[in-house]
Amino acid sequence: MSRRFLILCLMLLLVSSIALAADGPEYGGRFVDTEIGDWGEMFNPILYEAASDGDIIGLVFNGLVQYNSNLEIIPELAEKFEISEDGLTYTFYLHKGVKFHDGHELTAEDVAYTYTTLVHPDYTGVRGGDFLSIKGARDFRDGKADSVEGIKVIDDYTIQIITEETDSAFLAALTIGILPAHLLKNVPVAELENNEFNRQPIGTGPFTFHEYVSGQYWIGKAFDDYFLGRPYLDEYMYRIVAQSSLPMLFEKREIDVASLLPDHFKKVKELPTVKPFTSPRFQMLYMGVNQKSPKFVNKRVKQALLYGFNREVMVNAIFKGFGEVAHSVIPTVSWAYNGNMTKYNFNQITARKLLEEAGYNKLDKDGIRMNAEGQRLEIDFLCYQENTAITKVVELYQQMMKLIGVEVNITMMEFNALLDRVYNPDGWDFYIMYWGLTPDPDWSFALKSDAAWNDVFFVNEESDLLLDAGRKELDQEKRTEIYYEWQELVMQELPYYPLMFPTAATCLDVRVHGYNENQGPLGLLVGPEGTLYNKLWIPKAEQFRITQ
Amino acid sequence: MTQNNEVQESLIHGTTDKIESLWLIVWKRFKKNKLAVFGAIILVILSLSAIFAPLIAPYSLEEMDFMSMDQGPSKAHWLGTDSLGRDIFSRLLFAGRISLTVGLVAEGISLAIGVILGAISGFYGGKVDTLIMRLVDIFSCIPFLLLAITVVAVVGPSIYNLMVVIGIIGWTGTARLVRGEFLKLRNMEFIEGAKALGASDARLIFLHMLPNSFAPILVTATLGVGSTIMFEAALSYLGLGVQPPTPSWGNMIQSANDIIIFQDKPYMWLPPGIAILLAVLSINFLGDGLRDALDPRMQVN
Amino acid sequence: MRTYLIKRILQGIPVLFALSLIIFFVINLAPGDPLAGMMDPHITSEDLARRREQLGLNESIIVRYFNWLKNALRGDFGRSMKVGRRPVAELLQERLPNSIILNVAAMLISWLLAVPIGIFSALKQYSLADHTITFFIFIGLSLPSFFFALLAIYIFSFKIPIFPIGGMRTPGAPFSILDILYHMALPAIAMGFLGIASMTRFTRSSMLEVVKQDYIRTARSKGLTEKVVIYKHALRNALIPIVTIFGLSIPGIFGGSIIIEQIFTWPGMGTLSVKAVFSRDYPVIMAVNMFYALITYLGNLIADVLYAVVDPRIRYD
Repeated sequence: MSRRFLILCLMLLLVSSIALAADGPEYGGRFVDTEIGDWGEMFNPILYEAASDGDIIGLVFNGLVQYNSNLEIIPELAEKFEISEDGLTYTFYLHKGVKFHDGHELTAEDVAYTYTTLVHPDYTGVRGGDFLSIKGARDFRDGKADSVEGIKVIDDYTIQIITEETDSAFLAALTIGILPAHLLKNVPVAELENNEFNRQPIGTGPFTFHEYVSGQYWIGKAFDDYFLGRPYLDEYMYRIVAQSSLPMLFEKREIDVASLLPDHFKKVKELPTVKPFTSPRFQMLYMGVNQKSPKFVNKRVKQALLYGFNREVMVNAIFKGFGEVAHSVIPTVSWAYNGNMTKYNFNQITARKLLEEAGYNKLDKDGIRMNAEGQRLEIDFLCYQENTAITKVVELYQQMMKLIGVEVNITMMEFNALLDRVYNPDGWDFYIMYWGLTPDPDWSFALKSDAAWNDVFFVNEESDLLLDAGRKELDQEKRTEIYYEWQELVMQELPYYPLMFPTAATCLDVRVHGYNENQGPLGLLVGPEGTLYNKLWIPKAEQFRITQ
Repeated sequence: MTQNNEVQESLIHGTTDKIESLWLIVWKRFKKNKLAVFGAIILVILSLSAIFAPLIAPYSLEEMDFMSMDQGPSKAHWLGTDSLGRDIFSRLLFAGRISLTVGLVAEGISLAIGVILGAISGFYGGKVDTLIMRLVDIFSCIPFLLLAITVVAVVGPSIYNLMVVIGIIGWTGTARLVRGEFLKLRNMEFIEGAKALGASDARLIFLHMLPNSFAPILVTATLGVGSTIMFEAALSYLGLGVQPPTPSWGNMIQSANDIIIFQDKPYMWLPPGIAILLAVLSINFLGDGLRDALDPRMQVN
Repeated sequence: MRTYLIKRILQGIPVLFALSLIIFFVINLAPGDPLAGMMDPHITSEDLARRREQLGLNESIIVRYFNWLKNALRGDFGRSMKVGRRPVAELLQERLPNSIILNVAAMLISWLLAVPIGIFSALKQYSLADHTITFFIFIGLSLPSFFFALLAIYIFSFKIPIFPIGGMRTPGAPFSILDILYHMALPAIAMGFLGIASMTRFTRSSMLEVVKQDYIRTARSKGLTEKVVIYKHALRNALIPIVTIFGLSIPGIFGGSIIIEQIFTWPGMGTLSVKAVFSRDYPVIMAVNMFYALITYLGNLIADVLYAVVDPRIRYD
């Protein structure tokens, strides 16, 4: 073959591939996703702890059900599911012919194995809590039963789960990835965490776990037998990057997608090679308000200290407008969000009036308020040091409080130290932090009296009753009513000051197709029919464009 | 040569009548070293601007101007404003206060521990020496940065804790140095003489031996202040240095870690960077100058 | 010499023992534990309590220390609590070589440049060249390391894109030494240049010290050529203290530079240990620190021994 002929061929190939680009999805190419920080190296859906591990697990495994972009729970491994009249029995009909990456077929046994392991007495993870609502699970964990009564394998493709009581959050728990029983059932549950499987997992997902280089990158290869169709991409890569280098990496086209800091986003979105996206997400910036603090015995003080904080300035100055002021602990994008509850819009006059009413009506020489006994209104604020934006929020708060005669003392701590500190109610009034939330509006995990994360000592019987009722009720309309009432109560009692719901700012390289342009809070890679991992594609002509 | 002998003699005998001329000689030599004088002048300027920061600074430390946030340099704000509308120039002056204080106090702490333990170790020798030297071994085997991270995490990163932590970690070098000097001095005639005259241990240590080890200690201490300032900057990079809202040069230069600020807003990181550079540079010049001036072996001409 | 060595090695045992005690208590008394940071709505307090029990975090600190000591003496440093429950030894094995190659490269760069520059500067004392070198040395000493690294990335990875922005291997490419060298170049240069300043300064003053000594004067007065004086007599003696620096820089080679590794996303010991401290991964913190302490102690010992080897005037009895 002459060289000229070869060049001609190549040109033809190029032209044809460009022409094809308009026609629709093309196979091949590698999509480069980004991870900041590092992995926890536990790539097992029931044992992982780090969110970064969850990202990879999401590509390698499938759950029985999944969330779609409208935040509805839809079937995934299950072709369909039914919930009985009384709301206790869930019946799942599995897709037939779903293959694990090793070619073995997925059956109801695998599902039963996964759920049983989660409540096994020797189970070493922290994700079993949601599954204890399965009938007989508690007895099984306590060693009083040999199996879980409420997990029933009907046949290879049908499984029934029976819960003890109605639980509206239960279905969401079943998004957890299904493990291959044939590989793991002989491993003692206590030893599972030490098994090699966790570093070379085998699931049913669109990408197989191909190559993992500690602290560097991960590569998933398209799974040819994926039950929803082979992904268009050949490879899905996660790359560890430093946050500060993201703008440079976009400019050099070394990465395809990343969430960016506001300043970086403003710069990167001007590049002709990226498409910018913003969307709300299930996250809340909030201040924890110590309910045991003697300063907050009078509710007016709590209210005044929120009225006096101009959160609009905070959102615009510190977050460059990438967020919205929060008026509730339930995000605006949730179906349960109540737009009509008491709002604490910035109002210094109201704030001052409330403080006067609370007895702080004298000023000392520094302009700080005192009560009749001469006690200064001094507030102790705990802040963690790992996040500069958060530090600025606290500094801003300090200045704004000064304007209404309140002194704020800031104590900086390491994140872990802060989480430890807040469980001792003495000596602090506020702390600041983010909550990463789930699409379900339930708050029992943090604002119920006995909750694991109730670090503001919020004890309120009415709230507990409402949260229980909300969790037991399956009807969304009725739940909405319950949560409306509960949100109003929370905004009266103020265990938290909700500050802001951040806006995700994401950039995507223009060469990528097949994502969800009308993304919801779950991001670009989730569509109305669920995850789009196998739908992403890159035109042939551009597959080589990213520098290798 | 004669002058040189004089220095040596006065150094050895520590006689008061010659001390004055000694310092005169040191000063004469120091003056000759242009870099050292330059360093001293810069340091005086930096210190004065730090001491009088509240008077010089056009704005107060915390004052936030919500009308001009994130602005570049202007007439009203010489070095622009940060994202909360605070004047960067004013913060730079206050930061100098903090950074220099951290440098001085932390070095002071490590100097105090190092000199006392080093002196005891070198003076008494024997079991005491072995014990203290093992302590030095232990402390110098602890990874510097890692211990700083951990201790700051335990006690919280307040500026006082920070100074103590840096001080406590850094004393081993000084202790080794002082011990070495004392070992040398211990056998010198004038010490033996003083001992024979019945001078108490404390008198021997503080009046005879310490003044004679003054030169190397002063030089290490000076250089130590410089490296402490650098260390605070390194800790700040990891988020463990002086904590906001208190500004320090270290946590101000840290804004350069954001590539966009690095590229587009040099007015935010360049001034604190230059301040650190100038401070450490002049401290190093000064330390070098002092070393040369105090070294009896050096020729005056 | 031999008795000295044995004595020093024996003295190392109580030192390491005391260190393990100090580090263990400091780390464990620090607020928070490996589970405190896991804020997740799906995790219940019951889950957390179970997990703490399983990890042995509920035991008293003294019991935990002796458990650790017992296992450590048998060479078992346990499993990480935050990195996939992997054996700590395996993690060190994985990260250690990465740090070593980077640090050795950086050290080579700084030594190969610093020693000649320092000698040159000393020989031409007070010349324009000497002043210029001295000036740059001081600037090098006064630059925070992260700043220098960021500048290097900005210029050589972005403005003039010669080198990669970070990482140790081209993602997905087959393992190749050349590829690693290519990724290593920029961090090694950044780190090496930071080392140059102090090394040059050290070499220069060491050389100056020697040139002033009597035997050099004698050599000169004997009519030996300047070349012979410098290279045969002065240089050899000037290198003595420089050789001891080698011993002292050994722990640095193994320890890894926390800041450089973070900026260049280099998967070495530095990033591992920082992550371990912040996430309270007790077994990893203990192993890394004890390893580092051991190396430092040996490094100091090697420095002392080297000093005696190259300088016959020093004798340890």
